[in-house]
Amino acid sequence: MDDELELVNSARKGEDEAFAELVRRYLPRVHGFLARLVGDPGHAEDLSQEVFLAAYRSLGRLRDPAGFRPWLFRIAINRGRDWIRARSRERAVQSALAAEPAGPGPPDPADCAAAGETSRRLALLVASLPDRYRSVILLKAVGGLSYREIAGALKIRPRSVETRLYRARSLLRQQWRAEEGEEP
Amino acid sequence: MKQRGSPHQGMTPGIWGPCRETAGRPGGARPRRCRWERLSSAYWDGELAVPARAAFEAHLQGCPRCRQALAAFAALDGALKQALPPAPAPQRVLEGLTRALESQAPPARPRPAMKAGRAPRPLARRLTPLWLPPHPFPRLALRAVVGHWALAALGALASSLALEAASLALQAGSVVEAGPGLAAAARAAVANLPPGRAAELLAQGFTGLGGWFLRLAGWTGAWGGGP
Repeated sequence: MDDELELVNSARKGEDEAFAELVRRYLPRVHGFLARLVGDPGHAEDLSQEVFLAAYRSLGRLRDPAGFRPWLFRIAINRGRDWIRARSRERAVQSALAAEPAGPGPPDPADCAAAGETSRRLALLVASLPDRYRSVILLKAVGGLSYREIAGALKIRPRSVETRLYRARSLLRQQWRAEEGEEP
Repeated sequence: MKQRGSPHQGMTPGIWGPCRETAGRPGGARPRRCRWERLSSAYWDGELAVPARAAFEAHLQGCPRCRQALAAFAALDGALKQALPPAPAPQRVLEGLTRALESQAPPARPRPAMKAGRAPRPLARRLTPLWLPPHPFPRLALRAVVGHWALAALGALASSLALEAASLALQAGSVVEAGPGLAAAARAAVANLPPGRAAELLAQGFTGLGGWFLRLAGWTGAWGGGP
């Protein structure tokens, strides 16, 4: 994290190489998060670009450099929700169901595992969660954020993050058991 | 956003130890629910504060339902990590981003530290209506158009009133010795009208600015016969 703080501070001073390193570090997470949030990997690419362009333009206005990750994902959430509002959410989810998982290139063993039936069905269940639960699950599982960071990104209390994550997981567990009759 | 203390302080159920739902069930029957179960998610994420963590671990020893929930969340977490891996962005995204960044102006420099709370907006932005678009060029253009339109409208109004005053003065057939200000001009103009002429003008449908001019004269005391 100290390394990241240094990178953010350097990027704020205008060092492009530091910002490029932040892009390399967070683009996969932001892209993965947006792909699942909007349910359309193709548009997630455009949105990811927009997120980092917006971050580059407004990096100087980031008050707390230590809060870079929640701030970045906050931008991603706003862009993703704007896109979802522009389209119908149903359409986005349907698209996600058809195109899961995202990612080009030859698949490696991890990708093969992710493309398994269990993973595919679980991804569909996540895509069908209400937005308030889907966001926290994605920020935790894909973004790798802590509860406090998720709270910062969603502008809610850390206690609410805990409650929402518990409910999201319980919902997933219930739905999985209803479909499969066993735990994933 | 207001940050509270540890998000996990005071989160354990009121009575630490074996949960009421589990205790005393004959034959180890599976409890229907346990108030502690909601902590299992945060416990698995390592987000419980030390006292809550210790209490939950002690509780786990005697609660099969919470143990089951914890195992389920652990399995779910592993499955989610496989189902939702970070998606490596295509190379073209990185290339497009690089091109776009190269064409960008340097980012805004960090602002000096300010007091907590909302930063004041610059004067120009505070003066700009919220409905104006966020991009600078349309904002500037619209601001200019709105500003010029407002000035033009004020000018037109002033000119019309002056013309109406002159018109009334001519109708009165006399030279208006208008003092400073619109009310003085009205009083001077109407004072020179023949008796009953003002009421006659209104009765003839003397509307628009002229009518308001007469009314203004009435209100300011030059003519007793208001509208």
